[in-house]
Parts: sequence; C-alpha cells; structure tokens
Amino acid sequence: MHDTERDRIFGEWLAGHKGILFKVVHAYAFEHADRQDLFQEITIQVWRSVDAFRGDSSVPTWMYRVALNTAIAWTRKEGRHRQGKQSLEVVEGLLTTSSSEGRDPRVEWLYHQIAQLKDIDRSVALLLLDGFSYKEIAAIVGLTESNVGVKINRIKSALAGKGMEETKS
Amino acid sequence: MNLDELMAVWRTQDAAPLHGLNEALLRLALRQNEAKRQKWRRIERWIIYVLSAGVVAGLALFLANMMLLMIYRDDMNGLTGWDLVLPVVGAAAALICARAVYVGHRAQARREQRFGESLRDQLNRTIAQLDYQATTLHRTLLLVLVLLTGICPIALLLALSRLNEKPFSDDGYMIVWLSLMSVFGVATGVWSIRQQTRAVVLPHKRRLEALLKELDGQ
Repeated sequence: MHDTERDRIFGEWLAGHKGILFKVVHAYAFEHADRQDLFQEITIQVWRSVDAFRGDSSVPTWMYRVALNTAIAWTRKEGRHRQGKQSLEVVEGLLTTSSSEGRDPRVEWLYHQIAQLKDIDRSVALLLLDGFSYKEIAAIVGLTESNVGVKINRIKSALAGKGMEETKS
Repeated sequence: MNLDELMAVWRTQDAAPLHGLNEALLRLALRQNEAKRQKWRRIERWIIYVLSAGVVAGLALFLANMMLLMIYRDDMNGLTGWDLVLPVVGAAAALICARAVYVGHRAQARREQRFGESLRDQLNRTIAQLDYQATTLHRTLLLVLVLLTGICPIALLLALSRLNEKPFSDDGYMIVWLSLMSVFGVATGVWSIRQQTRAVVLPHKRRLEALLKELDGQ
C-alpha cells in the first residue's frame, strides 16, 4: 500500500476512533510522560497495521486489538525505562489534557478502579464498558466466551461493589 | 452502581474526550519513525551484503595466496587435492550455515504467521520470537562464529606447515596466537549472548508467560 493511501486511511480511523486510543492509554499509563510515550507507540502500531487490516472485523475492534496488544507489551518497556535501561525518544506535546467540561467526574474514579485490576482484566473491563459483546471480547482477547463470562462477573462485582461502597460513604 | 450506570459514566468521555491531540505533530512523529525504521533496514541489509562479500573475498584471497606461494616456490607439481580440502570444506560450511540461518528464519516467520490477531495469539507469537532468539538463532550464530574463526587459522596453519615443511615456524606461532585470539573472541561472544538472554529475553518471556497464565486464570 502506498504511504499516501495509508495516511488517508489512518487519518479516517483517527478522526473516527481516537477516543479508543485515549482510553487504552489512560488505563495503562499513569504519568503524563508515560501517556505520551504509550500513545506514540500505539499510534505507530496502528499506522503500521493499516496494511494488515482486511475488514474481517470493524475498525473500532481492530483498533482496540492493536492498542491493547501494544499496551500490554509496553508495560515491560516502561518498567525498563524507569530503571534507566532504555532511552526513549518521546515526541512531547502529542497529547494535551482536555478540559473536564461535560465529562462525568466519576470517569476518573472509574479509571482508578480499572487501574487496580490485573493487566488482562483491565483489557476486558475496557471492552466491556465500551459495549463489546462477550463473543467480540473473546475474539479480541483470545478466550472462550465462558471464560470471558467468568472474568466479567468478577470485574463487575469488583467495580460495582466499590461503586456502591464509595457512593454510600 | 450497576453495569449500565458504569457504562453511562464511561460514555461521557465520547462527548468530552480526556485528551486533545496535535495531529500535525503526530504525523511528523510517524514519518520520522518510519524513516528511521527504513534507514535501519537499509543498514542491516548492507551489513549482510558486506559480510557475505567479505567472507567470499577472504576465501578467494586465501586460495589465490596459496596458489601464488606455490608458484613462487615453483612447487605447483607438489600441490595435491588435499591442499584444497580445508578451504573447500570451509567454504561449504559457510554456505551451509548461511542456508541454515535463512531456512531457520523462514521457518520461524511461517510459525509466527500461524498465530492469529487476538491478545493470546500476540502473547504466544512474542514468546515464540523470544524462544527463537534465545535458542535457535543464538545457536546458529554461534556455529557460524566458531566455523569462521576456527577454520581460517587452521587452514593457514596447515598451509604454512606444508610450505615450511615444519609445523611450528615463526609464522606458525603467529597463527596459533591468532587462533587463541579467535577462541577468546568466540568465548566473549558466547558470554555476551548468554548475558543478554538472561538480562533481557528470559525476564520478558517470564512476564509474557505470567500474562498467559493470567489470561487462563479464573
């Protein structure tokens, strides 16, 4: 595929679904610099994946898949970065923090709860909250639907339970 | 809160995203990254070309030297098929190694293509890559290193011992020294490969295996 064509498709994907990338970045990286780095890494992988996209799944599913795979692999690099073993060439200023106007303040609380989950459960939680079906989650993560069901029940009780407790307090 | 309420909270991000994006800067970063990747690919290709050409030129030079020495000593009639055995075996071994690396690389690429696109497949694919890196690739590279650093000094030693009609002339001692340096080089290479495997490859593999277990965990 020619670079111009790839750029065009990537531009369309980004315009329509960049929120997916923000969500994954926010769930897997917690400092501003780390978020810049992870976002850059994910966009590079999404840009490269344009060639491999055959239309077997929807674009949001594909972008979630690429973003989650990258985020899961990235946490290792981030650890090494913290230990000073790997230099990063992060382009500063890619992401800016938006105003919270119009956003429910409980979103940050929700991210905080998601951050307490294990890496894989975090992926399942994001997909669940974005309305993916058990079947779609199973295909993205590589589990059977029944296993997804078990994980989701655990995640639901973890998130909803904490929600109840904190609402009461 | 039940799941529907949580989802309603979650959806408010779609109207008011958490971040803004500098798209011009992103496109610039992507182009720079791609240019850097292409540059490294070109460099890798050139390293392979130069190394291959170097091996072939070295062997050709070695054969030409032997012939010239024989001619200079007017000893062409003394040249037997046995004098050429070692260089020919060395060249054949180098070619077999190159072929083994190529075939191994292709087989690994095919193995990786069999995995799908799910998170589990991605984890398994990366584990397969790390296994290949830790075992097959290292072993093959080591074999190439041993052959290249081992055969050349032995061939030179044999050739010189034949010309001087005594195995350990001054030149012979120089070649023994060269051989020892080669052994040191190989030992350092082995040590460095093992260190890299222990420090980088194995911890990464263990983490991915832990993630796979987490995936299967109920």
